[in-house]
Amino acid sequence: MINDIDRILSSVSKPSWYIGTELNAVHKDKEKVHTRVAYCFPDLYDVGMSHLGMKLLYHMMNEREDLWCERVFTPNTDMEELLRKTGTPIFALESKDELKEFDFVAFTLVYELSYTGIATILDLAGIPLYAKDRTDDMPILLAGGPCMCNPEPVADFFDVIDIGEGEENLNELFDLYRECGKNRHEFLERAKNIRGIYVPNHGERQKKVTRAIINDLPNVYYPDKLVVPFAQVVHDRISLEIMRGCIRGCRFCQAGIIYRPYRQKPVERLKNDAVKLCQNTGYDEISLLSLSTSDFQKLPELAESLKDYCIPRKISLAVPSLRIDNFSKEISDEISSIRKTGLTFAPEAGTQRLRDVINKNITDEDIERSCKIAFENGASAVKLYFMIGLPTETDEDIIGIAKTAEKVLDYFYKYATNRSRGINVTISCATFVPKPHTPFQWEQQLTLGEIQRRQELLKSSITSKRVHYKYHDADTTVLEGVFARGDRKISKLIETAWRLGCRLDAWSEHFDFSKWQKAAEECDIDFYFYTARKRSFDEELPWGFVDSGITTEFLKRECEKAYKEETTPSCAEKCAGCGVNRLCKGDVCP
Amino acid sequence: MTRIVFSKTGYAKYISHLDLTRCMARIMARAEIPIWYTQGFNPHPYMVFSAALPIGVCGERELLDIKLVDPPEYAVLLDRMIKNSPDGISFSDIYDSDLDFKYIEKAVYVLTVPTDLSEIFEEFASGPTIPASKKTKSGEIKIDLKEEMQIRKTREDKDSAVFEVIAPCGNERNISPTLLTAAFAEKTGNSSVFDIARTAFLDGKSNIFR
Repeated sequence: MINDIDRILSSVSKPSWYIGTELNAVHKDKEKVHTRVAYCFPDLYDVGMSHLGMKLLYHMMNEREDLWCERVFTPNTDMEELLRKTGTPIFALESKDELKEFDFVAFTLVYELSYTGIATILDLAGIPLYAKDRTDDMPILLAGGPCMCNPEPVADFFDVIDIGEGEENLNELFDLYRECGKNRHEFLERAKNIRGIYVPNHGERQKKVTRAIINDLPNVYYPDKLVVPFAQVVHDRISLEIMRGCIRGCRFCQAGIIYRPYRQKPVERLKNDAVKLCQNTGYDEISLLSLSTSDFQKLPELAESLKDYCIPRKISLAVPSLRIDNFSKEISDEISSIRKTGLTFAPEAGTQRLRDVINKNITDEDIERSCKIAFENGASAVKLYFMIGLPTETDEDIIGIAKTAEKVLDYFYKYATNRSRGINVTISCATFVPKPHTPFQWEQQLTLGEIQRRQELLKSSITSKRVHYKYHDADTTVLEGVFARGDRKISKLIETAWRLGCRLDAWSEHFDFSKWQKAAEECDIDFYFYTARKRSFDEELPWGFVDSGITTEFLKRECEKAYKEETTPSCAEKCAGCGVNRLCKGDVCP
Repeated sequence: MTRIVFSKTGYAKYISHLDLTRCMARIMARAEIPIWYTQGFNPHPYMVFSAALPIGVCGERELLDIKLVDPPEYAVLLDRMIKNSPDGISFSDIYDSDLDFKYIEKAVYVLTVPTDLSEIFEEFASGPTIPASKKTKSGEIKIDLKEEMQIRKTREDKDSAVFEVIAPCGNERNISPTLLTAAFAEKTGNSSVFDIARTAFLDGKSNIFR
């Protein structure tokens, strides 16, 4: 087998994606562990290796002496072809063993368009895709990740689905596996008692599954090392998670709901983790990760405490996810004292009215104030994130996006200390996809034609050459919407599309919407039934059995307020009564 | 200048040269080597490699020059670098040298051929010409490897035969040993992968370049 792999690696592009000997990759003696996990990311190596969740859980699982967790990524198309041509099963990177030898084959599902990657990996492993087709001697198929807050579209494929934060319940799950002496039926039945665990294809169906939530984030496991890829990957730096959850309550945002409650980590712990991670990886950049970094109350303090370590070692600090409204001079100074990074803000909507609808509590004055600080400090590139197709959106709101960008240009000429460098404003525009567990989970998504019309309208509203407009293909958005709010019928669609040749759908060079349309026809599925239809509050939703901790009453209330253009204050100002604290011990909310 | 001798073997042979430079910079950072940074808008650690290895070829005595701002004891540095390296990358020596890499003209490669192919390979290597095509910036050119390389069998045992190949490896001319194995595969239709390792660099007088 090793010899075959050598032959394959000699002729594949980017062989270092498949060698598994990166620094901090975990190698163990397979005879000395009880449980072996093949942890798969259903997309290419350079994307998967950029994902914090996978890195975190990889190291956490490997902390267990009785378990060896290895990595698997979807092979690139040339690798898939080589594996098929040579009849070589897909292998886990570390041991080069085939997946059938493992106790668990686990998938992390972070975005919907990675779903065909599940089929690619399992097919190359010789493991049947559907749970019902697998025999007892096959590995147990496990899935987790944010997409699993609506597990139904892929529920037919998996034996166990972990909903919520894996740090909280994975150890319990593997303890149980050990206790059950690898007795599959006993394990699956008893796993249903672990909070967050959904067993979709074994015995009686669970009526309710409650999301697993870390109660004590300040002390929860965080790796002190990370696998350092040889090849350059998308996010090639240390990711330091500084908090989880978000106080803001934007009504379109799923992450803002499913990572509740808002929990911050102490500065001292973060500093220790950062230093250890630098020492153990040799990276020269730390990215402070969270949903809204500038809401981290002690951000200046953290930046200050890292400065002494970072500056002499030429390590830079990147601060993504800054909110425009509380972008202060102090923060700006701290960032630029280490290394200048471009400015990125997300107003999300082009008019105040629509920002009130989505509860993005940013005003035009906030934008001006933040731009002033940034431009006075020498920024010359601004990236603005917007969405089109939000509920109640009119053409005026679309034109407002272009106007907002042009206002940023004006602020540059008004405030910039060094105008000679010029300014570039990039508008990055996504199309709104209603997501489960949000106040907009009942909403309509735009149809293909309407997305394209609004994109064109925006394009034609931009008059300045200094404003660059980027947008996603309309058809990928439709498909994302189908998966996001899909039901069990969608598994057939995924399987059919994969059979028709759909691969790596998140990549525009691979995405082939006509094949998906053909698959939909074969499966008798109407995309618009899932996306373009307004659902009533009474409709039974496919993800209704998942208790995210946030009550449906809260979601309805927020949805009604949206239509009244009423905003809700952040959790830091006033508790909105979302209900998540019912599931937490003690006083976790701000 | 401080010269470091390192090896790149096992799966590490699949790391590209660009990836190796990044990997080295991280090894230096982890090992806390007081390396000199280039001065400029975007400072980076100053490192000069003897010659890039083709992907898939091991290197047993590769050379890397760095500058130190504060030279501590070399033995200590070497130890720290070894401890901070990923699998497949290791370090064997560190010393002062001012001998510029431009004096490297050739390299010695060792090819390990499985016994069942050694006879065919020997016949192939001793033919009058070995036509091969080399990709250059201006397109593909035809070359005769017979004129470029010296090939001789140095050892044969139960499982394999070992061939030594000396090929140009300088700024002026650089011929990869993988051209030889590719030509062999094309001629015989046998796509077996041979172990190839670069073991030394030679100067213009065919002396070992240290």
